[in-house]
Amino acid sequence: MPMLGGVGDVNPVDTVRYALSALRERRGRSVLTILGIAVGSGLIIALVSLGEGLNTTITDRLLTLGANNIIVLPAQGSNIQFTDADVQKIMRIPGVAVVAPFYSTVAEFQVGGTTVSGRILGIDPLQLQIIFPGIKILEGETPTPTSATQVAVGYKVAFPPAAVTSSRLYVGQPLTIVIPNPSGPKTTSYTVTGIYDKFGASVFFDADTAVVMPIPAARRLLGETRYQAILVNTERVELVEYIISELEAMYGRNVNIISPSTILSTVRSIIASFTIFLGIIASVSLFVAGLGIMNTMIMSVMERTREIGVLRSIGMTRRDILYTFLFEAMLTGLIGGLIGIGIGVALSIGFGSYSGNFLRFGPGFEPITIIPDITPQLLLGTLLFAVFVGSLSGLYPARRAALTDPVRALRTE
Amino acid sequence: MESDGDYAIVLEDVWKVYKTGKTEYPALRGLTLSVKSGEMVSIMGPSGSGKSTLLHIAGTLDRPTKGRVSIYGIDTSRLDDSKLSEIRNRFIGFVFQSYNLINRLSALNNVSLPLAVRGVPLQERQAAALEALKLVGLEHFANKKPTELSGGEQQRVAIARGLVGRPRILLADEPTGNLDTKNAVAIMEILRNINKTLGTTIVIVTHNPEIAEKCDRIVRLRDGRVESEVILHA
Repeated sequence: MPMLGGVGDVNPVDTVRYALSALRERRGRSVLTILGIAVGSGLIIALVSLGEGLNTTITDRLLTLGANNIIVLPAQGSNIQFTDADVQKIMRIPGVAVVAPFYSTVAEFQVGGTTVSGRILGIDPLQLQIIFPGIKILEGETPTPTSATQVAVGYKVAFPPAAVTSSRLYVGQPLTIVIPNPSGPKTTSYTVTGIYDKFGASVFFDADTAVVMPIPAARRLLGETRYQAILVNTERVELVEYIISELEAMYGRNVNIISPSTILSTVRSIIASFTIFLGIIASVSLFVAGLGIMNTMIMSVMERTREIGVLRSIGMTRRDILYTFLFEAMLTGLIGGLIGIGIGVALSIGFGSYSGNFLRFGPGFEPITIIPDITPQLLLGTLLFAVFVGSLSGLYPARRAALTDPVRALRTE
Repeated sequence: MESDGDYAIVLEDVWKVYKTGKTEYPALRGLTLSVKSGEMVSIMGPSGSGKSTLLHIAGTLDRPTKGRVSIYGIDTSRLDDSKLSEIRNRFIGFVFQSYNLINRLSALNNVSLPLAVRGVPLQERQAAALEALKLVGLEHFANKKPTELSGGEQQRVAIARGLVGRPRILLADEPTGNLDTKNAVAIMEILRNINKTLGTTIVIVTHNPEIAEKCDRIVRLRDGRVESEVILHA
């Protein structure tokens, strides 16, 4: 008597081959369903990588202000006046490294027959150097802190856009500064001792169009002895929150306290939630594409009822049938996901490089370019998700196929 | 005394009742039939007499409502789907009236499908499929799609598919039903030849007396039971 046992399972390679032949047979429908999955997974990759990229870009930009810096400004409507006594007081808060009082005002600089608009930053140039190590001297040197006549200029002040003028500013040359004034503009001349290197866009002020002058020079220019604001540099980022609370205790509602690190955490959490939100929308689109797979698979199972009967008659088990159809759906997801990776990477890089054309940042409206954060984890994760959606969508049609009565299936016309 | 093992197929008091809603329709009513190993039997009878149902039950595609079915001594009543599928794959080949080839696959791949289900490696099963196509005289059509073949040729491919796994039993449901006389005769010659040279047990359901006469025995069904039997060749 013959013994049962030993029918080998269908070879996976054959399952792949068989599924591909079925997908090829209904080429048009397959292409459309695959495209649906590809667009869905491409969107996930593009939106998430751009969101992450935007996060990184904004973080970098915010950190140009220094994560461990705090700016103390008089609150609107408050008549608080910052003096050296305030500087001394703040200096005594534990964890404070540098306290730099400063003046800041809009101004125009006359360079080579043209006028550059920007800002005056009246601050101790050496303190500035400590607080913003990123600001570097390109030519010359920083002004002497006690000087009332020396200035250092931002890159764009020294080198106005080529379209406007071909001339530039040299170290040692005089610079004419015009301050708008209710009683008519006030013009003063200073000596340029240094030119700063390019700094890039920042949040509160544009270092490249700024002119930095020592406190005495600013006092002479503005005729004002009280400081406009105070920059507090902390020893460590972790101390920022504590020092802010100390400052709040000291000044109450009389001041506004701004810190890049607290802004940063807010902005980052906003961008992160936005990225998650967009990712969810893209995921929904992938699930909708999954419904497309389900639809074509159900149609396919109906059209191939006789085929199912034949497969059962030659010895396929219900489980074999289930896997055959499930695999077809999974393969649709896989191919869609793979194409989706291509679409996603192309979209993120394309959009990222184009982003500079409409994304502007900071007071200088510097174009910012998002460098999409395309990680292997994102690509692999999305691919697996597409395969998962494909399999999930195939489950019901495949079950239907598996439960088809072979006798009825063979009778179907 | 003979045991079930001497028989290719034993059906004993087999009932098959189809239910549609509240109405019950008994397609087989206590049918008893034994087919010897190596025998070539034709099943005849009017429409609705249970011919196809008998073939499906003997081929383990369907289960009887009541009664015993034994294939080469194996009682199939207690076997699960996977074991029954295995029996179909190893012991039984099917040939259908409408060929039932898979149109997107070449003749060769259609024929080798049962071996793919068995897990036979590609080269081995293609060689076997080519051998089976040779048996039906279609080795030169191996790479043609079913749609490129005539009805007679498609049925020969289907027979090759039924034979490729070297089953002991070939069950044919009106194999010549869609063919003209010339092709029908050719198919019968092939089946007869297979029965003689390979010793394959063949059961053919047919309406055609000329076909039936080529078999060893004619079994006539009526109302789900064996009405009469005629032995033509001992």
